[in-house]
Amino acid sequence: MPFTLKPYEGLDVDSESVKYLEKSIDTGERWVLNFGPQHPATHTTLRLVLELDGERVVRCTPHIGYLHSGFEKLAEHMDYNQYVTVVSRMDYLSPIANDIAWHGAVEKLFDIEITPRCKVLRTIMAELARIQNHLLCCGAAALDLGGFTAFIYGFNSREPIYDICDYISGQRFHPDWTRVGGLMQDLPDEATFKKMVKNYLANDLSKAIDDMERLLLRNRIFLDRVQGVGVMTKEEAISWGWTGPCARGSGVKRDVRKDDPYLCYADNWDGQGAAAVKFQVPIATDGDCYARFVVRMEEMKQSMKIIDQLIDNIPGGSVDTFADAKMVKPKKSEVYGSIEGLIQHFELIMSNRGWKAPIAECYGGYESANGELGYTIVGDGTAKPWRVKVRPPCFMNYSAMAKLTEGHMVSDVVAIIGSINVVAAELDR
Amino acid sequence: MPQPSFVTGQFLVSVATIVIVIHIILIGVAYCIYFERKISAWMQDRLGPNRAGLDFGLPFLSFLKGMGGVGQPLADGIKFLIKEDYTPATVDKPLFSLGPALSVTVALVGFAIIPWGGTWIMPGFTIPVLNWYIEGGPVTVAGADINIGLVYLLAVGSLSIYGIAIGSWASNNKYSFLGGLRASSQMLSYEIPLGLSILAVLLTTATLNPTKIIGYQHEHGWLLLSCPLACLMFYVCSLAECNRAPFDNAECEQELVGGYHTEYSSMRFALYFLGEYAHMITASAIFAVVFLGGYKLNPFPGGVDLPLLSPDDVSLLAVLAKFGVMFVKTALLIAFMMVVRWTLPRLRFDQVMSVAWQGAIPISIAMVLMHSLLSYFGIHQMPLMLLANVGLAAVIIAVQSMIPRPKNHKVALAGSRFSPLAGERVTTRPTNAEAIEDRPVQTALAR
Repeated sequence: MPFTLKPYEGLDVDSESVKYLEKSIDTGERWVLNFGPQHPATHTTLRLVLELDGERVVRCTPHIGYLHSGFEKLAEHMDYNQYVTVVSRMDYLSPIANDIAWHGAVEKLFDIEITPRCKVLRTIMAELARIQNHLLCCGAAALDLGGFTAFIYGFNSREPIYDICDYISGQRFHPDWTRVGGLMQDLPDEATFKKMVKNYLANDLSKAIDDMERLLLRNRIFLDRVQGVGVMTKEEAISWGWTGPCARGSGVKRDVRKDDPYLCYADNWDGQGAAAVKFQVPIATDGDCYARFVVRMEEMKQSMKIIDQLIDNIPGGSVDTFADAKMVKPKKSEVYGSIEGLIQHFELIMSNRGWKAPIAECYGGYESANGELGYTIVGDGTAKPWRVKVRPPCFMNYSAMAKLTEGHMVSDVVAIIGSINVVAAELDR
Repeated sequence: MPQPSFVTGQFLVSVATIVIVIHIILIGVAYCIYFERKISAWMQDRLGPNRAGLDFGLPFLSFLKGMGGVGQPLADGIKFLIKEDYTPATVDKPLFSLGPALSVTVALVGFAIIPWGGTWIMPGFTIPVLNWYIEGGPVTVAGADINIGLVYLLAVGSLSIYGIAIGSWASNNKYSFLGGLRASSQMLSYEIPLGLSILAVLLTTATLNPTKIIGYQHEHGWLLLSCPLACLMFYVCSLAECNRAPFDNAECEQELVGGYHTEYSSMRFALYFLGEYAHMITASAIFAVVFLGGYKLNPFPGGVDLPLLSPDDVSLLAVLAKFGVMFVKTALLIAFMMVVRWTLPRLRFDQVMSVAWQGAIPISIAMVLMHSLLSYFGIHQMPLMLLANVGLAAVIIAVQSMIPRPKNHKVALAGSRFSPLAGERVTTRPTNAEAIEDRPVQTALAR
């Protein structure tokens, strides 16, 4: 355990055991503002009931659940390949990252090793998803503060990523790309894929990041809005359960890619001694909105470096694990052409058969753009999981909203929501 | 009917100017919206409106399709007129309608003093039916050529606060109220440096009459070069007066849903919009007159200019040429206002106030002092004044960098959970009944 948590010396906090104060101390200028579920600044349906003293936030009570759709309950009725369609709806800023994280957890439960080609492709798409998410988050943070042009530059730069997802899976937005033990299909044409990715990184993305930095990072107005707002110290970030760029902006040195490596971030990912991808994890120490913003911008550049290392060295071979692993749906040519393929297809698809999951419980966590996205899967021997619990990074990050906001002003609420990158679909599931 | 004494050539020309200019302004406001959308689109790698041509959907006019979207303001205007005029039930009905009307009216009144066309020698003529003879002679092509021109502008500009304050109060909505409060205090605060920069101009030119200010600039060059600090201060304060970014807290969508125009729809919303853009046009036109030499194209001192544009040429063609130059200058300034809006993030409201009271007002007081000294010593040459301004700017930058910037911080408030007063006992339940009225908090221990 790299950190020692000190006891929280702060308030003498009472819970319900003390007689409840009927009214808070009335300065005569207190009023309640409902930052309602329908509001242009709360990126989706978030509700904050702000008790304000003039323009200062005295109390902030977040109400969540306006976008609750029962995603976790749905998992009990879908099998391990069908649920990937639901999972990409959670963090919809970077949908393909959810697919990769879900099937990473499933493969951990089943104890399947995927092929090197599959690992490389999944890593490349995970980093592209990270870029996608950070572009929108930084852009929306600027939009909430009035920098409309920076938002458009960032948003425009996500279009080529949609085109890449469209190319590899047929869908722009929710690719549903991964399957147990592999991918839905191999790349239609590797040369085209390489060209698209390299072209995007060289032409679109570097220009977009450069433009956004020049518009914002030295802009006195932007700096005055975000520096010192919503400060979270390192100990507080750990105790509130923060992960991802929000935690790293406070100085917490934790990145699942480095601490519990997976896919190509682990050494020997191809079984023949290939080194893990080299990249650095940006850490800031201030813990304010500016630090989180800068950490995200820097992470995008590191993702570019990772993709550059991998895009030219995609190994050959199949994307699906060995045919005798019995977990992978075989190709149609095998299904119609060989008896083993037909039997394997039958065993997996027919409703009284399907995957025989181990009767075990497993947690698999990956580093998504928001933080540690994890799935606790309880398998019960059938093709459908008994229970899936999602660890949404937004939920932990947003739970500290009141702590960050109280004492600041109404305009800072908007800046803070933008810097935490709240995605209501992931928050409410 | 006997000819009243006030019906002179100047009166008729003024009335004609006002009528023509108001029509141009009203159309100009609609096209301001179009240009805002186009300029913002071009800055953001987009195209902007490009479909609504002037064909009205009629098949025989299909050659007028597209046209870069110039029919968009017309389409928007028609839409605003035929949209459902929804008045929420809880608003104060007379004030709800009065707010936008006041906003537009006040904005349109400010155009009276701008000298669009210089002097014109009007030929004498007789009005046919009434048989009144109007003498010819020199007339100023302006709405009103009064000696207190710029003070009139300040007075009328201050009235624009009423439209916003009344509209926000009448909406009976917390967001509108917050927006109206912010707008009122912001506009009041920025009136002061605005007035002080006009005072600096007055000290230099010794007159407030816009025509005579243009005359002064004919000899001494644009006031942009002689009084750059006053010029900058005026422009920034007029951005704040028009509630434009970076000072647009009153109407920012991201924080206040709609600010003071949250509850407004269709024509009333259009009137607020119109009022804001008309205010922008007035401010830009005044800026062009006072600092960019009006219809003078040559920025440097000395009278060398296009012959049509010199104050001596008084033919009708010269009037039209001068009008054209003023129009182009105003349009460029408005375009620059739009570029500024789409580039800069917005200031938080307390930062707006501190920029006004701790930034703009001390700077403008120093500037007025400097101009009084320059005027006392009779220095009117452009290079010396420019040097003095640059020197003052250097002093201001040096002083300002030594003043520590206030950092964003949390304020300890009574009753807060996470930033309470020192030593306060904190309750974790929501303390306000409104916060939990629809979502009761379940207590773990029922005592």
